[in-house]
Amino acid sequence: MKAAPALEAEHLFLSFGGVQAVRDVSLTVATGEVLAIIGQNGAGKSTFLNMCTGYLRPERGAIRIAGCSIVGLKPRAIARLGVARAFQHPQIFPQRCVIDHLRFASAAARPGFWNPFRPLNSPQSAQDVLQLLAFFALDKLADQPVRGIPEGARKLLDVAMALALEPKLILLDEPTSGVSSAEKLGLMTRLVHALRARGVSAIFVEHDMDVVARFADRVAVWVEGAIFRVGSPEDVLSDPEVKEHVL
Amino acid sequence: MLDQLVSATIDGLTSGATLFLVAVGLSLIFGVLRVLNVAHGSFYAIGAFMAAVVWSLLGAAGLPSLLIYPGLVVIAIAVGIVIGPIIERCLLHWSFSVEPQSRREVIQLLATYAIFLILEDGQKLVFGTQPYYSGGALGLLGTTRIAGILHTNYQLLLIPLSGIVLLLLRLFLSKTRSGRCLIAVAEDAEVSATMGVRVTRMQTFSFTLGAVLAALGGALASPAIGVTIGIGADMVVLSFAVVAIAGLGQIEGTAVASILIGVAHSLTVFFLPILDTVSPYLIMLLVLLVRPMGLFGMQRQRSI
Amino acid sequence: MAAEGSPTEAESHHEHSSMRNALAETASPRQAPMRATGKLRVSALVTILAFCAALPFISPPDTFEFTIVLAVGLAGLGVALLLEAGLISFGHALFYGMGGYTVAALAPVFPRFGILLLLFGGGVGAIVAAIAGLFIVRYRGVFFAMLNLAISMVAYSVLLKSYAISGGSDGMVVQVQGLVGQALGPGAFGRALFYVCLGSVIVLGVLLQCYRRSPAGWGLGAIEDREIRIEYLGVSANRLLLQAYVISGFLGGFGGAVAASAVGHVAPDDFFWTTSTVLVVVAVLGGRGVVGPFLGAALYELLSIAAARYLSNSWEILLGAVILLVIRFAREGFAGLPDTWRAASLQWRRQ
Ligand SMILES: Nc1ncnc2c1ncn2[C@@H]1O[C@H](COP(=O)(O)OP(=O)(O)O)[C@@H](O)[C@H]1O
Ligand SMILES: [Mg+2]
Repeated sequence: MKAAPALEAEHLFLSFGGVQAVRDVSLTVATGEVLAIIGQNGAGKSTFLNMCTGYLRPERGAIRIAGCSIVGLKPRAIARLGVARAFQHPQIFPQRCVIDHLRFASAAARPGFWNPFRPLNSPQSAQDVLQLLAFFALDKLADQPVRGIPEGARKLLDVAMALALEPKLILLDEPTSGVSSAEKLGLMTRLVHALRARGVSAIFVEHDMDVVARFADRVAVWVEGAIFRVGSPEDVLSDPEVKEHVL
Repeated sequence: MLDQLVSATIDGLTSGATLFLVAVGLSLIFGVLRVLNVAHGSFYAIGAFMAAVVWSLLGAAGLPSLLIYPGLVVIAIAVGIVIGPIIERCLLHWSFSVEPQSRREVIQLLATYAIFLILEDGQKLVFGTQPYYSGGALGLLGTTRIAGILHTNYQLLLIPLSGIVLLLLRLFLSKTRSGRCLIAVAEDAEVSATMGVRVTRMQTFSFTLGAVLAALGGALASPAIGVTIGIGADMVVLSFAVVAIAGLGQIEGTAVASILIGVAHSLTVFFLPILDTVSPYLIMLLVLLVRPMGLFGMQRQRSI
Repeated sequence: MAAEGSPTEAESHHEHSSMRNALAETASPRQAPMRATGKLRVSALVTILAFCAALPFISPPDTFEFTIVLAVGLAGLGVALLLEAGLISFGHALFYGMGGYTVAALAPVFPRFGILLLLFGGGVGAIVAAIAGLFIVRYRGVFFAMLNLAISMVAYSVLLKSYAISGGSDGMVVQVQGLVGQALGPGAFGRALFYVCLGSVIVLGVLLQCYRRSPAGWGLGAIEDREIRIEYLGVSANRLLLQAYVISGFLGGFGGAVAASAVGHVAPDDFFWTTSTVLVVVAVLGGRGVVGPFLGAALYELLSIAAARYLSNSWEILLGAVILLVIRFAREGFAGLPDTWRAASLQWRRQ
């Protein structure tokens, strides 16, 4: 029997008051696939990710992660299924320093989290944490409280926390917005290579078409809450209708 | 049995009526300032003390006793207008700019708690530790026999009186300009500031209005209770229970919850006296277990 | 971890090691003073503890007061712990009272095993916290504060009514005669209790410090910052809070048990909101961390001695004023004063 896809969404609907934020969305992400979502602001991309991670509950439709239905589960339960998420607006702990974020995320993914005698900066995870810091070029900021670090670094820290969970599926909401365009490509190159190397399935929302074209296996184009096109980057990005709607 | 039931219900309604006045003030202050005013019970107590003092002054001065009824309202307004703005301006206002929000909440709780401590002790200094009784004011309006049991007309009148306050409050909030501004600030202070609402003024105003309502509850309840040190502490917890059951910031809901608590309390006093002090909290516990935001409250989800 | 096996492994490894070198270079000047202040702190702590241990000899008649300071400090430590999660409890008298009444109830059974009684007191506090916590830790902010207050008020009124068990408003006499099996005279008992309490403070302080440095302890503080992120990392914020709540219940119960053994009497007032006030003041005045609440308790005791002499009728006015001043001008409490001053002077110089 074929293994269940990493994520299956079927006929999702959600509206806020009068606004239909997501209308009849169906989408499948195969295991190990990297899918990009593009679309204008307000198209419902973040709302979709919120539904896939249990923050919002779809009014109708089904979501399965690795074959397991997750509608009605809390974000925590879904995270335990191996789904990690980074946010459009970084959700980090303003008063804490950068390196502790990663230590905490790393501890959260391992047994022994509740052991009160194991320090946060345990030797087992120290290596991983340092590598993550270096990977996202956050090492110079390691001891700074995140309240004061630049927006780009906050976003990277958010992504780094998601990665520290060693997820099976990762959902990244505009991971490179706020990162300078000079660093963007290099960062995404390493990020996507790392994801592929460990077989992590991924969805990322992105506005930079260069990035989409280079790193996505497939692209889903969103227009006003619905999926307008899905296909390979070459096909989709050269479609004149897509250009008209998105660019 | 039935007689007792009727009479317990009426008792419950009258105590629910004053409870509503206090609780709706608490809810109003929370709605607009996002501050849970722990000192609210003290406003109630001060209103009650002042009413008892004025009652004995009327007697001493040989003035007509009936003057106590308008007097009660005047006392409440005076108490609220004197202490409301001072407390809000001098002791609370600075805390509105504290960041982050979770820290602000703790700071504000501590601030109103500190004010509560100061007012509790202040009462001891001003009014002494002996209880005050103004029960004479109860009988002036005569009595009515309902289902075989005598009730004072004064207490029976409290029920429609609170209804009128509810109505006036609702009319004020939806029909007048200031009322709508108040609602706007409750919805979103920042946005209403950009639309030209004077947020600061609205905050002081609603804190004062809340204080007046609490003092009114105390003044009106005063003839029916022994006014002693400590009623404020009990009242703040009780009115919090009402507001939590209703959902913070729900005005009509507060009326329903007050009646619920008042009636449940007097029923337990009659039929299950072991549970009388505990019953409001048991109801709160049950409601919060089923509906964490209260019966009428709505969850506000932060967008992430 | 993230870069392993990726085609750019070599590159990132290179980066990684250069990063480490950079870290090592910057680390020496940056971490040296930190380690020095760490050493300074440890030696300061040892000096303070030695001084505390000498107190019953310096001023023998005040041994009782010193014991009470430690007891109240322990219970205040429980309140301060929850304060780290951005939550204030106005009802911790519940645990304090429970600890005291546990000792009162069990003292006739183990009159000479005070240590056991103290542990029972803490244990009952923890059990009560675990039960109440199942409900309470779902709430934040004003609900957390007020539900704690409500539960403690209910316990108080139940206690007043159950005269047969609790002695109603008279309270109960606590007859602890010894700590480890031998009956002691009053003076010797008082001294022994003080040293047992000081020892417990050290042990519990070290354990608590371990907890605060563990992932769960860090997560507790992060609840104040951004709870949703904790959930998204697969960790239950409510469970983090429940753990802390049980610890704080233990500390409250233990403190109450020490106080009851020292005073020799428990009364319903131990459950009343005025007792909660003391614990709140101690926690807020002292500040976060393990040492703060003990400083807070000492200050509180000094304050109450001064107040008893000069303004016995307006004690709570004074406490209220102290809370207002601390939250306004020294938000991190007494223990945080150096930081507060440093920040203030920095800002002042910038202007
Ligand atoms: N919590 C919310 N309440 C009300 N409307 C919302 C909420 N979240 C999103 N929306 C609306 O839903 C639509 C989709 O938003 P979103 O998913 O954030 O778009 P995108 O991420 O594609 O820019 C927008 O019109 C937005 O205003
Ligand atoms: Mg978005």
